[in-house]
Amino acid sequence: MLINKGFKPKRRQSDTDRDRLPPGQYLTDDFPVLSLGPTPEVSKDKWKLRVWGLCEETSLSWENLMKLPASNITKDIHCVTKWSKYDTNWKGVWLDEIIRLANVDDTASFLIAHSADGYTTNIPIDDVTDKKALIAYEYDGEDIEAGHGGPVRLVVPHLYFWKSAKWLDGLEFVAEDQPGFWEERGYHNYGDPWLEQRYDTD
Amino acid sequence: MTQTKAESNWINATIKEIRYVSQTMLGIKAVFEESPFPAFEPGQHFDIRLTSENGYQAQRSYSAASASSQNEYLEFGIDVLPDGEVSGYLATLKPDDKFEIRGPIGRHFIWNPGNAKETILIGGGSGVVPLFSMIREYSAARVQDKLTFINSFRTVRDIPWQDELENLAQENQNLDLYTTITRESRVSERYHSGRINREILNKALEKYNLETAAVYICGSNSFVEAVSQSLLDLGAAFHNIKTERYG
Repeated sequence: MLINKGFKPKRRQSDTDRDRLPPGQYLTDDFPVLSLGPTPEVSKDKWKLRVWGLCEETSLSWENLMKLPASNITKDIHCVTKWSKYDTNWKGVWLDEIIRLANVDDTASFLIAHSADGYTTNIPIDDVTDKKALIAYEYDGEDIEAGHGGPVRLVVPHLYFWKSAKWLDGLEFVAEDQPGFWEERGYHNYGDPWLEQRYDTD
Repeated sequence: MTQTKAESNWINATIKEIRYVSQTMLGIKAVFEESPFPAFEPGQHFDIRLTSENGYQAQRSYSAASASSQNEYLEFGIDVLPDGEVSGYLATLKPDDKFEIRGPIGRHFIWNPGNAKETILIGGGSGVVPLFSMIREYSAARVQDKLTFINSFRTVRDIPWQDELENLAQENQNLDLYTTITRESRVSERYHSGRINREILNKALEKYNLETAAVYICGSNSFVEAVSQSLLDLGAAFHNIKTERYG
């Protein structure tokens, strides 16, 4: 490892940061926006969540989603571009609810999340069950802004944030893994920030 | 500190040349004495990692600015931020100093000669860096396809590699430049003034078929958002627009 003589941290890391900030990340108070193209226009009244694959095919409207039990979570999030943000607050429906509603089969091993802009991302089923993944529709008590994936986005805070698909409009349950958009373009297939699984050679 | 990443991903870059290419942008040309040249495609970025004497590490991503077909050096364009932990340190380095990089990274925001008959590159501030790699590669490849580079800076002194860019445009009639300055009122008539908007885009792109042209937009989130919405309004195809945003 190369040592850069004279290089010093600008901000002293607190003891909390050492436990809370995954390797290679820095803390930000902003909420940067990253996406592969223009922001798609998705309105609440036209929004639909299609659920298909190894389950009973179903579709939820905004109204349907509002009727499901809601949960609030406050979690740290970590972007592969190296920023982390502490204590982000989201309201939404646990993915467990959808799995129950659509009677997802035991043979489903992966979730492929689909977005309105054509984006996809793959997540093992064990990482979206037992209250690990939220179908979020509020950020910090407000509607989620379009730039941040509103009206509805996935939030899977324990993985790098590209797994938390914006403009969520499809949940596909499959038996075999299918790398998604970034996973096919050089990013890690799983994306654990604590193991610094950023790119496909990590 | 947890160190789980395969260390073999990182290679040492040696500085061959380091100088300001605009008021705030540092141009660093790096060579690789201990490992093969890291082949990349225009638009891709690399991670730069710095390690302090007591083991503290910081990483940031920087786009390549040089043409991908020449491998004499890899050039970065690095905006030196007032409180920049990494950029501030890089600005103190001299030729022969070293830093670690890994990459190239990202296979979405990439462009290669022959990809499209018409290409539109739009950049704001340091967002022009990956677009410079595309323009340099386009110029080196001498293809007949059309390319327009629309760019926006606060002041004239913020334009990087300005002379080179103007020379490239003069040599190639298929390469059009449209530069606009947003924070200086009186500028030479070589430049336009004001932010990139629908009117400017309409005028700069009148010879282009917006439904089929390949579009690359890079800059701050607000810049990318405004420009991509204007282009969609003018008839550009959603899936032909690739964006890269920072902050």
